[in-house]
Amino acid sequence: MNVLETRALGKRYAGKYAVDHLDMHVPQGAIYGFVGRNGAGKSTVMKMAAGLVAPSEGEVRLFGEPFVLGGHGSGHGAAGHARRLGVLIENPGILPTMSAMDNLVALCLAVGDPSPRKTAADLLDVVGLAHTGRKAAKGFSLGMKQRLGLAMALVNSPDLLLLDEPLNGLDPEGARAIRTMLVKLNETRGVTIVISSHVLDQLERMCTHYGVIASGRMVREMTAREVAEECGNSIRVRTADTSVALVLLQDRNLPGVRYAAESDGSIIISGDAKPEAIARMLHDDGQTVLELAVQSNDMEDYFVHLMGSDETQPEQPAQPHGGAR
Amino acid sequence: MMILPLLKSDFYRLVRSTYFWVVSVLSVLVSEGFTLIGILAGSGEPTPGAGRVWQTHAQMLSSSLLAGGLLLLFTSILTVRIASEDTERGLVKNLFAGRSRRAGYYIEKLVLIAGITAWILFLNVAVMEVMLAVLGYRYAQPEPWGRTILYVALMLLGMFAMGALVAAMTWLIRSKAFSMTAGVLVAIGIVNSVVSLAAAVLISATKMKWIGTLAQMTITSPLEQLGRQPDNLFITLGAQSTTVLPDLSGTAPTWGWPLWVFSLVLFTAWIALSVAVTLLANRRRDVC
Repeated sequence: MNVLETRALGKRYAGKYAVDHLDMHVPQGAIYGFVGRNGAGKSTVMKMAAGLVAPSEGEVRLFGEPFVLGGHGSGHGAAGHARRLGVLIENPGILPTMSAMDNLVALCLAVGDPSPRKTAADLLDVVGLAHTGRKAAKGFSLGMKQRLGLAMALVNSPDLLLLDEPLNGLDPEGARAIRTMLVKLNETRGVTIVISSHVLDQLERMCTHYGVIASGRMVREMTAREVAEECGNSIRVRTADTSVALVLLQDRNLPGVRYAAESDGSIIISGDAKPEAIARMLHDDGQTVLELAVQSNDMEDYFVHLMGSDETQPEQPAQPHGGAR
Repeated sequence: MMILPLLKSDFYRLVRSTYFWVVSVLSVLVSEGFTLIGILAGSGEPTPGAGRVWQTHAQMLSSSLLAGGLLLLFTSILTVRIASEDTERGLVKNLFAGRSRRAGYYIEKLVLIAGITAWILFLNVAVMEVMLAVLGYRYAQPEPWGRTILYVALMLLGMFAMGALVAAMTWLIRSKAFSMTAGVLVAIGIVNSVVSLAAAVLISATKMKWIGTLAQMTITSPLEQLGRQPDNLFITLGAQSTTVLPDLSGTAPTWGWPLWVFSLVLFTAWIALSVAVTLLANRRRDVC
């Protein structure tokens, strides 16, 4: 089952699409890395999924049910979804003059937790802030604030966590601590996590699924396994006639092999393809091979490629005022 | 969204908020301080020639607490803070996430604002009564308790109507600075004065008396009347009214109602309007 699903989801600001007919599928139990450039629409999608921003069009489905802002009836998750959804979007909602404990107790009380102090103490333990005592949150480091924000997102034991750039500004140790915590939550409590981040190597270490967004549109969704396969070695081929060579290769219909034409006229072949087999096929088909090389990709190159090259980077969509990314 | 848990949470935050206690104490110091200075400067005789004697409790309350709009000012300051803090800090995202309906949140905040308004008013009334009793003041014609309670209740309703309006503006405009400025201008009577002045000019220019009727519908209009005529709650406004700024009494829309009914109706109408605007405007509005 998909815990979160969007269908043709769209959001317009001043007539411009920030999110454009986006389809997203987050399976239960996944850690879903949501990748895209600044201004690609990641935060807007997360806000719409959480019900903080009203979609201009399309549908959000949470836990298999439609989620309609301002809707009525049990089918629209009047309160049920709230108990199953935790968010950390942009800045954590911390009250700076209060301690970490008081921040959590206040939120526990607001959501009707029957034992707020115990829940707050447990959450502080989980995020490693139990030692902070009565220290006001305004004196916390960025990492501590992020961890407190994460604890606040965990109030009510959610089944789905939406985390927007939770690793931003953290030192490697802090990022690792949060990553470890998220993986633990996913493994021990079965929490499904959607996480957007620019720190791709951190995502690589925890995500089971990926979605790549560019210019408000979902470019591709894939599993970590698919990414690993595509990020492995690939073959770059240049022939005298790229388009004919590409059609001929695709007609071979080799299992687990993908082809992509590059702007420089070369073809990138990824998946289970052997260079000698490719060379033989092209030769048999009468193609003149100008260049054939094996190259290795890292994940960053791969995602940057999917998100679009710098030259083709779209104009940033319009933003609502006050809506930082 | 359940109101009671939200109230518990806000109460938990409020008692730990330095801001709340500072504003509460300041409201007492300033209101009671000004009254004390006024009394001392006026040779300590609220009723000239009668020594340390007020005519009625209502007169004392109107002179000391309603005059100058100081209590309204402090209530507005707290209201803007309460209405804007969750959005400003981002906590509203945690509270709204996964919830399709938001009315409970706004209703709870309005209930909280009503509670804080009552706190500020009762605190000041109590301190004022004690302070004047200690200074040896007495009342020449003490009215029945019921009448004093009605007067205080109308003051409370008026202050809450003002708070609800300021909160609605804060949620609508989403600018703390604008809401604070507007709240202060309304509280100290500048908006009412400008409206009255504009109405007077328009009436003399156009002879359209309904403009005067409209001008007297401002939220501070009944508060001003309550401040000026604390002992005339049961007398029809049109017969007794003497307005300070341009005299619109001839156009007053009292429909033959006594002051307390006029105030009750107008305050309730402003509260209803503020609640309706708040709920309708924020039903599906983006919160960030």
